Parts: sequence; structure tokens; C-alpha cells
Amino acid sequence: MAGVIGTGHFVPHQVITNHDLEKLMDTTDEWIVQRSGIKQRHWVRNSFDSGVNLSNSDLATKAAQNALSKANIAASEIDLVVYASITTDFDLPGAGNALISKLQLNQGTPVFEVRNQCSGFLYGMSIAKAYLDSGAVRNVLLIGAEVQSTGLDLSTRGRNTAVLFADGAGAVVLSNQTTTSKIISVKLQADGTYADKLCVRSPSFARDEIICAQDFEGESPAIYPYMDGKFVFKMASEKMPEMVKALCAEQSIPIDDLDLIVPHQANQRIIDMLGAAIAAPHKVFSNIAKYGNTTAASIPIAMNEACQQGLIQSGSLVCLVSFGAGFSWAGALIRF
Amino acid sequence: MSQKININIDREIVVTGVSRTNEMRLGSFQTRIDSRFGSQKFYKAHSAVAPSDAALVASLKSLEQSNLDAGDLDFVISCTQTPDINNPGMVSFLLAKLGLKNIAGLEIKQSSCGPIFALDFASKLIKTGQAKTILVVCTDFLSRYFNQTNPDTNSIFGDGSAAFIVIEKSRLKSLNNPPSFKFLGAQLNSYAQSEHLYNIKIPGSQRLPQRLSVQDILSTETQPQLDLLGIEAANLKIMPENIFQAGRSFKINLEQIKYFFNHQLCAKHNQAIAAKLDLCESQFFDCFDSYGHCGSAGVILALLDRSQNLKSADVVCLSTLAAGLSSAVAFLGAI
Repeated sequence: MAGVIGTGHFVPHQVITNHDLEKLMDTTDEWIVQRSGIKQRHWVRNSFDSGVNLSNSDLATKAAQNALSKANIAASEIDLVVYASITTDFDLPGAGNALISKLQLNQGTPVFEVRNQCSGFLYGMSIAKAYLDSGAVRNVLLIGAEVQSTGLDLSTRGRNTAVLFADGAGAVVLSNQTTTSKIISVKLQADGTYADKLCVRSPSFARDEIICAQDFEGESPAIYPYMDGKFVFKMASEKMPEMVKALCAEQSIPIDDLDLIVPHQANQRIIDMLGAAIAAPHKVFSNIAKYGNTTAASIPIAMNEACQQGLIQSGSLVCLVSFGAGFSWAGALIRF
Repeated sequence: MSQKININIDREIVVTGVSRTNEMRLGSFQTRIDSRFGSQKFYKAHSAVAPSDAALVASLKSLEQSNLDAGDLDFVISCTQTPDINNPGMVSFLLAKLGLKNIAGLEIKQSSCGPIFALDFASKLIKTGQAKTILVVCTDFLSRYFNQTNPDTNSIFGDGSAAFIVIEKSRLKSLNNPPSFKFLGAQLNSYAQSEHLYNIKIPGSQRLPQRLSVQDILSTETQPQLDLLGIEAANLKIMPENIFQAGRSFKINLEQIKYFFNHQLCAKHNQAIAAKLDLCESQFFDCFDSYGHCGSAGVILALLDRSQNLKSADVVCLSTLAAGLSSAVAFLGAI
């Protein structure tokens, strides 16, 4: 059965503090911290239109190297890659083929490219688990990687979302050769009714002109992320605790037995609501203050940090839970 | 999707309800003449039709043909490189239009290889008891990439949507609505970066300072860039090898395959692949001249076009090459 044998993460060296953003838009460190809990984030670009040219696949490669090292296996032993991202290097092809070059994976290693926003990592975990549990492969590299900073409106007009999103990558090596760790369960859900509550409306193939001049205009230009913050907050605060409870109930595991809950890092207030709803705030991991919202990368980054801090050890029972655009939400129970 | 470990490798997995969007609802029917490809027909979606609209029609037909309701589904996989919008992907809009809530909605971005990657994953979900009834929808509106100044793209792309259900045979209410197939196996491969063959660089996150600017509206970099000769060379190198390997892996005699539905790009490629595999050209079926290149939908459209010629126990091969590069080969046995 599938289990975790290595975790890793990588973020760009460029740290953007809230004070850096104060120079670009009408915002304050206090406002950002109160609303989101974020104090800083890592971007491949700096705040003034330049930066080192690290791509999504560069971040993923470094995170993967870290995870492979922890797993003590070579890249050539990977049989399948699952790559979750909504911000790949190019529109086409995805970043998976670049990863094969950069990580020197065996030619022919299949790469699944997953587009499920903040739940992409856990949706990807369901692919990995299916292949591992079926015995079709032995080792899977699962990656969540994002470069959000090049798609943000850094003017005052875009401050509601620009202060939230960030760049980074996390990776895990999953294997059915381990006798200790086990992915007990993965649960996936989605509801498209509210797809327009958190979205980027351009480019769009729902019309003849994929991109048009109007997409760059107005109070909320279509090329930048749009979020109905209050509604997203309400839904995330409902769905994430429901997911944790459902996962535990289906496996007849008391929530008290969980050693750690690693949620998607979208907003500290949502993380706090999750902790309160399951009456275990001390068990909910958070690193959003340092990294912001790295979308599909947030859970593997947080999971790796929790391992580094000793909060996840061999034998730990951990619940991962996500909620994001779509809406899609997901959870996983893992025995490390 | 709730997962409980219950592996049964003997579960017979069926692909049923193979369907496509009704052309009249999708849009207009056009013909173009190209000096390299000859006379071609293709479908261009009406302006008001979104990819998820076409996906909905194909999905409902697939469910109807399978004698299933949307409520019977526990997993939906969407394959597209041309979603309504990128964030969230097309699957969200499709789920809403199907009236489905709280089930799994996965979107994979595998270009033309989407249907086979999705089919193989669906088979693993069923084998491991992680899902029971899976809808796979393959939709691409590639005509919307048209660049009037680029003859390479103008002469190739069309719009299409196709869908099928992957289900354990014992769960099917009936098999009275062909075409239905037994899933025999699939081989998936991806290769190191070959983006020069086929790419769309913008919007791409690695471009600084912004992934998209107003100047990009007229930029050729928001249009597909194709190296047709390079694609042909890759197709002729990779596909014969992978079809041969897959046949050997699944113990399938290629000479007994009724039809090969290879990547729907160019009939000449298929003739060359047939020659390399020492197979008859007549085994290879191509519908490029009927639909153009429809991305993820293409190989399923081809399967449908020949499904009436199939009889029980006929084996067919689906094979695709996708940007990147990736390739995929699957074998199905007609029921």
C-alpha cells in the first residue's frame, strides 16, 4: 500500500514583506496581518518588476531533489510523476516535461498534470495512491508547485488578492515498498456552483477572443485573480472541518487520535476556524505567516516543515485538508 | 470519492457510452483547402458555446447510452487544454451544469493524450475500489487559437467534445447500447522537454514581470507554434516503438488489431507508422479530414466513426502523441 517515504520543499530566495508591498499599493502590514495572518511571502520576482528567472519547473525540481534525498532513492527509481499546478512555465506544454529534463528522470516516465487549484496536491495524491495500490508502479513523485507572483495586480486596485498569493513548491515521494507509512484514505469533493467566486476570468476559451483589451481594464481586470473573500471564507470554514470529520468517521478514527492536521494555507483565520470547529486548535499546523498562499504547493511545503520541526515523526497520524477555487476540496489521512 | 482498500485485479473494466457532441448543437460546419492536407472539414463552435457546454452535451449522451443517471457518477475527469477558464478549470463548470455536487472533479492537462491517461487512471480507481462509475470528458476548442496570419494553425485545428464512462462490468445495467469495450490495458509515457515542437508560451508563469500584458493580444506567442516536420519525426519515432512495446506488454498480436486510431493529425503519418510496424495501412483509421485536429477529443471521435464496423471481440488500439512530449497507447476489446 502507498506510503510517504520522503518530503521536500523549495521557495525562491526573494522575500517580500508586507512593508515591501506598502511601497507598491495602498496597504499596511497591520491590515494584511489582521486579514490573513501573512507577514511575508517568497516570490520569484522582486516587488519592482525584475527578479531571478526561476520558473515553476525550477522550483519543482529543487523541491523534488530535496524529497528524493530524504527518501534515499534516485530519480531513476521514480515510475510516475504527478504534477499539480495552475501556473505552469508555459500555457502549453505543462511543466512536467521540463521536470523530466531537469531532474533527469528516466525518459518515458509518465507525468500527470493536474489542474485543481488549491486542492491540486490532494487530487494528485489520489492518482498516486491508485497507481501504487494497484501495484502498477512502485515509486511516485507527487509535486505541488506554483508561481503566482507574475499573475498579480500589484497596484492598489489588486491589493485584496495580491497580498495573499506567493511562489513555492513542495514534493513528496510515495512508495508501496514501505512497511511503515500508509496513505489510509483520500477523499475528493467538488461543487462548481460557485466557480465564479474565486477565479481568473481571462484567458477564456468560452468565447471567440481568448484574450481581449477589455480584460486588462476596469476595477477588477479579468486577467487578475478575483475573489469574493467573505463567501470563500464562509465556504472554506465549513468544508474543511466537514472533511476532517468525514475522513475520521469513515475510518472510525477519533479526531483526538490525530497527531497533526496540515491544512491548505490560505488564511490564518480559516485555519483558526478549522481548529475551533474540530476542538483541536493546538493540532492544526500553520506557516502562512512566512509563505502566504502558495496554492497547490502549500500543503506539501507545510508538511515538510512539520517534518523538519519534528511535529510529524514515524508513526504520526496526520490529516491533510484543502479547499480552493472550483470549489474543490479534499482530505487525506496518512500514517507516517 | 471515499477510499477503502479493496483491490481486485480481476475486476473487468468496461468503457461504455462512448459519445460525442451533436455537431448541430456545437456549431457550424466548415471546409477548408490546404495544399499539404487536401480538402478538410472541421467544426467550429458557435461564439456563444463554451467548452463546458459541449462537454455537457457529450456527457449527457454518454450517460443516456450507458443507461445511467448523473447521480450514478462518483468521479468526473475532464481532459482539456482549452478550458472555459484556467482557474478554476472546466470541470467545475461541467459539474455545475450536470447538477453534481460533492463528488470528485479532476482536471488533467495532457493535451491529446488526455483520454488515455484518464482511462488508465480510471481503471486504477476501479481496481483499487476508490471509485465505481467514472465519467471521462475530452473537450478542446482549438479553433479559438486561430491566428489568421499563421497557416500552420489555420490548417489544422478544429473543435470537438467526446465522453465515455469507465465502470466495472458487473455494475452496468445493460450493454444494449454499443459501442462498449473491455479495457485491456494502457501504456503512458512522457519525455524530456521538446517544447520547440508545439508550444504556446503566453500566458506562462515564467515570464517576468507579468505573465500576460495587453501587448500580448496581438503577439504570436499567444498562438500555438508548431514545427510540423519535427512533430512528424517525433510521431514516427515514438509511436511505433510504444505501440510495439504496449502490444508486447499486454500480449496483444498487433496483426490481429481491427483498427489503430492513432493521433488524429495526418494520414501520411499513420501510413508511415503502419509501414514501420509491418502492418496493413487499412488497419489505421484517420478522421482528420472530417474534424481537423481536436486535441483530446480527436482519438475518441475516430473511435466513434468506426464503431459501427466493429463486432464483438474485435480489438482496437488508441494511440496519441501530445505536446511536451507525451505518448499513450491503449487497447480495447469490443463487447
